Amino acid sequence: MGIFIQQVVNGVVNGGIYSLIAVGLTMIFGVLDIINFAHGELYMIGAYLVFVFAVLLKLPFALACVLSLLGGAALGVILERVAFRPLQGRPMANQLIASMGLSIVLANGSAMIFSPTPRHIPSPFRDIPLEVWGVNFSLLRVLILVISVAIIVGLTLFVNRTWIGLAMRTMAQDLTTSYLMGIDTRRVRQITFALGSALAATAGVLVGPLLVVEPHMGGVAVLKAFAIVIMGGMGNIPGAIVAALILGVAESLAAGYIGAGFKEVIAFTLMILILLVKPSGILSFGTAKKV
Amino acid sequence: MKDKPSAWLWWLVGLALAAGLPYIITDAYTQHLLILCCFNIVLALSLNLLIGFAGQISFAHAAFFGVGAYTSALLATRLGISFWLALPAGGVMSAVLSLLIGLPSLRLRGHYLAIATLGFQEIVVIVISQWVSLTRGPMGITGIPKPRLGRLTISALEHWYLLALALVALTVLFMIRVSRSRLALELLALRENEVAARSMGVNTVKMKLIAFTGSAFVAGLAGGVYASYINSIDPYSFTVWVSAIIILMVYAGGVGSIVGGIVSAVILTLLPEFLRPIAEDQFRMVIFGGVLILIIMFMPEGMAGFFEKIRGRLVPRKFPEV
Amino acid sequence: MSRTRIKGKSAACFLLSLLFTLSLAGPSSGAEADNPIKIGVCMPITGPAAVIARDSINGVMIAVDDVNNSGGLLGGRKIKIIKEDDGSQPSQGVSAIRKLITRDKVVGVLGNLNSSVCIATRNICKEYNIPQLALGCSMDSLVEGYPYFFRVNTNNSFQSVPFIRWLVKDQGRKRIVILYENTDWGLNLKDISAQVAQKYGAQILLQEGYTPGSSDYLPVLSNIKKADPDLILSAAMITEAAIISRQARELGIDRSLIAGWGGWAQTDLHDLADGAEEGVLIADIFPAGDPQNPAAKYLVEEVKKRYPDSQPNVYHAQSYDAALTLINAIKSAGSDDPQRIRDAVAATDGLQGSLGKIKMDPQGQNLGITIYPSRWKNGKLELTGVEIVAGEE
Repeated sequence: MGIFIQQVVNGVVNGGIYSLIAVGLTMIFGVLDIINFAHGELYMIGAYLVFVFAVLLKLPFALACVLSLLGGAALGVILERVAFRPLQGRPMANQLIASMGLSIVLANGSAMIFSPTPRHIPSPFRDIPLEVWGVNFSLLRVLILVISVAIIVGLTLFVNRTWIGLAMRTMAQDLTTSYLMGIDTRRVRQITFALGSALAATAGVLVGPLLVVEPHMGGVAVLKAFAIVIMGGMGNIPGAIVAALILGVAESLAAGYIGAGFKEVIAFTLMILILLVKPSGILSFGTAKKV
Repeated sequence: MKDKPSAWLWWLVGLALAAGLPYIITDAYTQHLLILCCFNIVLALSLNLLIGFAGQISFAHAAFFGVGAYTSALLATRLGISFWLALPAGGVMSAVLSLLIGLPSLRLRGHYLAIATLGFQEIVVIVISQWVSLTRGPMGITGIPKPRLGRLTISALEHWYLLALALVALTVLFMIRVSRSRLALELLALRENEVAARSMGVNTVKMKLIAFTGSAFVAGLAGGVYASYINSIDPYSFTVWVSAIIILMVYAGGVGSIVGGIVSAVILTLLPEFLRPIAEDQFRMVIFGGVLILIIMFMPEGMAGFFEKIRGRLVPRKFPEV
Repeated sequence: MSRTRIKGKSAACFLLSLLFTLSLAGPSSGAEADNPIKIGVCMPITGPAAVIARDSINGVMIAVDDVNNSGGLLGGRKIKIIKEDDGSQPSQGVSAIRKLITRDKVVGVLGNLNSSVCIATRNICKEYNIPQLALGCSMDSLVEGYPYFFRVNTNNSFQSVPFIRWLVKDQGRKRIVILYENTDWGLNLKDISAQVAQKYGAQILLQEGYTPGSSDYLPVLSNIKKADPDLILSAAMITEAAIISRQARELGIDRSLIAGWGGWAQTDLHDLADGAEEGVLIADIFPAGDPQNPAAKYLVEEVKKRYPDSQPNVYHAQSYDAALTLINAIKSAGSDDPQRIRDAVAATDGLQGSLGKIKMDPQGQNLGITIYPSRWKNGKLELTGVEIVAGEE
């Protein structure tokens, strides 16, 4: 039983990290109707920014994290303006391909700037092992989970309780009416993209010290994020969170009881099952949106 | 749908010129590139059947290519089956796989369809790389035998090119035939408006499945030829990124355009190779990514649409043909 | 909707433009000034193995620059290195090698890194009779049947068999877990390890595989901890080794149970693993700075001087040795004829490389490989004093 709990705990923490990446992606999809293949690169750049600020420029760690977050948001705004706004209104595949091109540019660009050497980010909270009730984990991981939860809670409040959040939800539901209601759609798009990108960058900031930073780390992450977004229902933030947690735990149990190589298949198999059974996502009620 | 004999003539001229290429350009490296172009043309055209005609999108094309390659390679290396039999077997295997993907995809559209097919693509690659007892996993399959035609073994580059070109010719023929048939009308109806098509009596389910299996079968055939040419295959030659590049070839050429598909496949195959002497490694990839973005931004209708516009300005037309 | 129109005329037009563009790609222009000796280097400069490729190429350049700065070869001719990227993909490797041989007219090839790529490219070198020295490609049976394909670096058996035998017989380890990566290299080493360990009476408790690039080893490590082994064998790249050691520390697993190859032996590991690598035992082939080997000492100094951003490692060393072998072969063949160079490579015996004295066996594998088991201590690798000669067994 002990090892089962250990695997579940491992899975929950991973799920927390997945949710940060997936929530940003699903938000951007809901409001802007864009699937951003380069989202994984924003995660990677978040991690590299911490490296630049904390290791190369030797700034205090907390400051480095905040700056990286802002950097991610800024990059998001730039990408929206440069790559996605010109393609507004075009068939979906155009944005998809443009975002793929972006992904290649950003990943290889980072490899050019930082060289492909893997990097380590020393964090003030070293992965000090803890043991509680027979379950092991590191202090760093606990912190990541706590911070992820805090961010998700904050985000949910933002989306549900603020005017901008309301505007976002309106645009996600019905774009034409949003114009009619006088919503500054351009501004909301920018904010949404910045926010979504900042979330991905934050995931990178949190995970950077835990893992190893390298230019292609975004590629693996983004594919899982897609699977989670579909499972939760595109544009559905609580759905993405739940799906992320389920995936984290499922992967952990599969890796533990069946085999780690097999774990990679879980994300997509689950996604396809959900698509067959409940295409609008696990947490959706009522009519499906854009299936 | 008028039958224009002059169009056929131009195609034959094109084919003859293409067949003569390796005898004019005798540099082995360029010959190898031409052969790779042929494979990509076949892949782009077969995907065009799905995207251009049926209006579906699929990220799983590399998986069909790979399944065809692996099936044919395994039959040849494990069971000693001749290339000419293993090849269609590969195509059939891919077609069967595509049914597995096509059936669940029936009620999906747009982004959902794109990501669902992406999921299938990933699953196929992971299964191939994990099922070591069958596929040797990441170690791949090596020593794939070359095809034999009577007493001739196809090993010289010129002969490989002709074989690949024959495959291209067959694919083009297939596409032209399809585009002039009633099938094309039904597929186009499906592409333009699925609901309207259904109300007109088009069996959209059957159309979608035909498009999926047709495009997969051709990709599978290409895979079998590719496996024998390269002589050793591994799961990582058939990843989602390969699918993405093929999708790009379809869009860059112009969705639904056969000639556009050929031109963009050639250009996008040669582009990274041309960039070799110009730019260092990672920068080469950055440029490639940049080119993708530029193409999609400034040529939204692809090259075919682009040339259409130019032609439209040079030669005014009265009635657009279908 | 007019998109499906067939533009017959355009077909001919584009073919003409194709011919034009291809003519631009035509054979490169005539003879170069100074008539250099051209050698091709084909490595995964882009892709997941880019760091290893970079270090390998740097190792080659040290050997080449030394020769060029001291008067060149064959009467003052300089060596010209032409680099191509194979992206760890067989098809790209084949393209690149064809270009190097038919376009650039190289007389020898150094590469590739990945076994799966070598399997494809050695056919091309065989077809054109160009000697090829691998810079990696450690799968055992690659050299047999390919008289133009040589390997100066170790193969998987040399690296593992004597080491495991020592661990099981001399060190008395009996309860073994194998942690392997699901790649050609990892799978091959797993099979060899299991075989050797069982041959000497050890018990394989568990074999856990993972996909490189994944970042979560907690489930696998939890299982390993539960199995309570006295030896964990792991062949891993440096990124995975770093993450595995840190997550093992999180779970409270004693890292001195781990014995590893590959990334575990790289000196950069300490930075990435943040001290979690303490106690890990490794099968080091190139103990950086082995004072008894003058070539090794020289290489370490040169790497520190010329490439201060990286730590001297086995990839520098094995590539330096491969380049040295090729250069030496050109010298002793007295000509740039690939066939003569090939024969001279095959006859290499007693050449002092940074890994040891290079001696080619009849198949094309270098026998001069010695394993120096070492342990991570306080951020540095410490030799245990044991030396196992791997090659000539």
